[in-house]
Amino acid sequence: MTLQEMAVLVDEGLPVKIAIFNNGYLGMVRQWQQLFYDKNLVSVAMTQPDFVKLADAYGIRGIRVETKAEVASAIREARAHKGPILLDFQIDQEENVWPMVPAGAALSETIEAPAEELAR
Amino acid sequence: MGRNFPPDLLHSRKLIPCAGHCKYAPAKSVANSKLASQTRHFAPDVPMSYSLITAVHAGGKSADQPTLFAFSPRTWPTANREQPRPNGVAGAGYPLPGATPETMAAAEGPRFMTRMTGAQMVLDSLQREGVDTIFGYPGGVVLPLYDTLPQFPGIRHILVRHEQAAAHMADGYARASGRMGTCLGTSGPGATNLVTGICTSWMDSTPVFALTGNVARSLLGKDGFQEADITGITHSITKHNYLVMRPEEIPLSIREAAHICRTGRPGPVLVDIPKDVFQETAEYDWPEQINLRGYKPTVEGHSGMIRRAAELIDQAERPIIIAGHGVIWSDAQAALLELAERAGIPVITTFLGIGAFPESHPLSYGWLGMHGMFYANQAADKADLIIGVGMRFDDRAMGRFSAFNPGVKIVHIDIDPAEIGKNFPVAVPIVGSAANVLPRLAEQVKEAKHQPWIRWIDQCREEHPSLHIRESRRMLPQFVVRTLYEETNGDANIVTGVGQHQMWAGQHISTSALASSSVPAGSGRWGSNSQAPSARRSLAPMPRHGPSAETAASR
Repeated sequence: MTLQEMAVLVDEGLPVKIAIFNNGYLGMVRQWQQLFYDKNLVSVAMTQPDFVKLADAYGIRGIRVETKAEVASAIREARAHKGPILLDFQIDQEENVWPMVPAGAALSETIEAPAEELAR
Repeated sequence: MGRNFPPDLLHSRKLIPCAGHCKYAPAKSVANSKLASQTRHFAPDVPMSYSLITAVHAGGKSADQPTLFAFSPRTWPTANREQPRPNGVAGAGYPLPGATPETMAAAEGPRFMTRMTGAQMVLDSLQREGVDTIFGYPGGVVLPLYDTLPQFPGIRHILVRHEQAAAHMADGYARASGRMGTCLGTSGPGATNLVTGICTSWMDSTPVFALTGNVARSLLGKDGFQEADITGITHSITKHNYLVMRPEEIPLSIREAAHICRTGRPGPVLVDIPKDVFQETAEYDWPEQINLRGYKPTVEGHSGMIRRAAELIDQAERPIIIAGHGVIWSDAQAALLELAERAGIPVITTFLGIGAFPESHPLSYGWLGMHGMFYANQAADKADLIIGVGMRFDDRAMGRFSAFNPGVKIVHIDIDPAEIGKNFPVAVPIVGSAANVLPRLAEQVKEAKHQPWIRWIDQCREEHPSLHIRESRRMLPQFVVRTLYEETNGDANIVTGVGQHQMWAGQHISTSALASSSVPAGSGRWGSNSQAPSARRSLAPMPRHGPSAETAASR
């Protein structure tokens, strides 16, 4: 929606580091559909552009981070880099946010991560 | 200064010294006063900008050179005024109670009789209100304003690619600096593109000043090209908005709007100006004081209520403080710490209140809500007294209202009286600023420890550690967030959008870093995260919370 504003980073020379948590989904909506709508995923899977190429089109350096081992070094590189930089973290696609209070539930009904998710 | 003005403006400036016979002479009642004898007044006959006058003024300080003063006839409460003005505005209408010409002159300082275009008035007024950055996107009806921008080198304009970015950047600027953020869009689609950002600011109570152009006055209401009833559209998402129909009203409108924006519960305002009002020349009359009869935010909490609250706190066995965004906006973190430590009360925050209380403190128990910590939710649910400060008991934080902690007593401290009692019945309402109320409350409560209660919450935290990141060979987003925090030594200014990543950031980035962040919470605006950082970094960094705004992440 707003990636065109990367041009503003270049125009103004702002050293902002963009970290994209790329799971290929509209994550929170997918989580709700998975938990409360019987895993009926509708209109949440989204083709993602190659963000590194997109950043490059704006003249910004981009780094794709594909494995867990690369995470720390990528962040260090971003810190050291002068000027704007984009990090595309290819995170786990099915991860959900826990704890959760389902909509309409009370705070006393907070749910923690179920065992099968903790085992992943 | 001189090189930034168009050459013709400088060279055609003519100042005609007048010996006291022109209509700009001060009224007789002060003609013999000491102030009058030190001045000579001039009748400029070309438009001059305020900045230019300042330059001239600065050069004429020695005793033998007259300082450039000119008293507007409207300063004085004379009967033979040319035009009637709205009530209560000093300098343009009836005097405030107790005012005499001498006191008004002394209080208000020099008044400049200048004629300016509306566009110049807008920029000068904004500059007087301390605006140094405008995020905007040009368009037809704001061309006169953009044409005038170079005359004001003190205002930096950041060109965005869509007005939504301008509004979100203004919002991010406000959150980062604590000052008023300003955005600018043209009429019609330009103005409507600002709406989502204005709504974000409305929901999260941040001071954003939206300036829009509109079609010429003769076309208003006739479905002109790129016309939109933006004042109607933003009626319910601004604290107040203005459609300025005369250039003379520009300074007053902007002054009032900025005042409303920043005071009380901060919130967005919008000033809409038709194109020909930008272009028309008129007298610039900056109101030194304003008086909004219908807007007097209560800052000082009622002492009787504070005493009652202190009594309830002393009697409570399981008290808890829920600190919200208001603690941060009123800079009341130190007072909150004092209260919590003195009365031994555990503190949890709302999502927007992250940063109101240091997370490393033993009395800190994270934040509550839909994705908050299990133990924070339990503590809120089992408390017998909740002290809510600068928060609004919204549904994301409290869960289902009807099932929330029946029997709890609530002390609600908020600057907005409309929030008190809105969602939950309140035992002791205190309308006032957190910075005013919390210290007074802290000095009245008795020292206490509440050890059994704190032990209970600690036990809950041990059994349900909500922030544990499990070992996995997958790249878990929680792991990435945590690494980001660690690699930047907790110094980074973090801005998020809305969604899962926002929640993970809230959970795994420690207080001081996230406190300097922009998290559009109330309106759930997605995608705005790329815009706010531009705003934050573009301003001369003024750290509001946390170690520094010049952070690892922004190098």
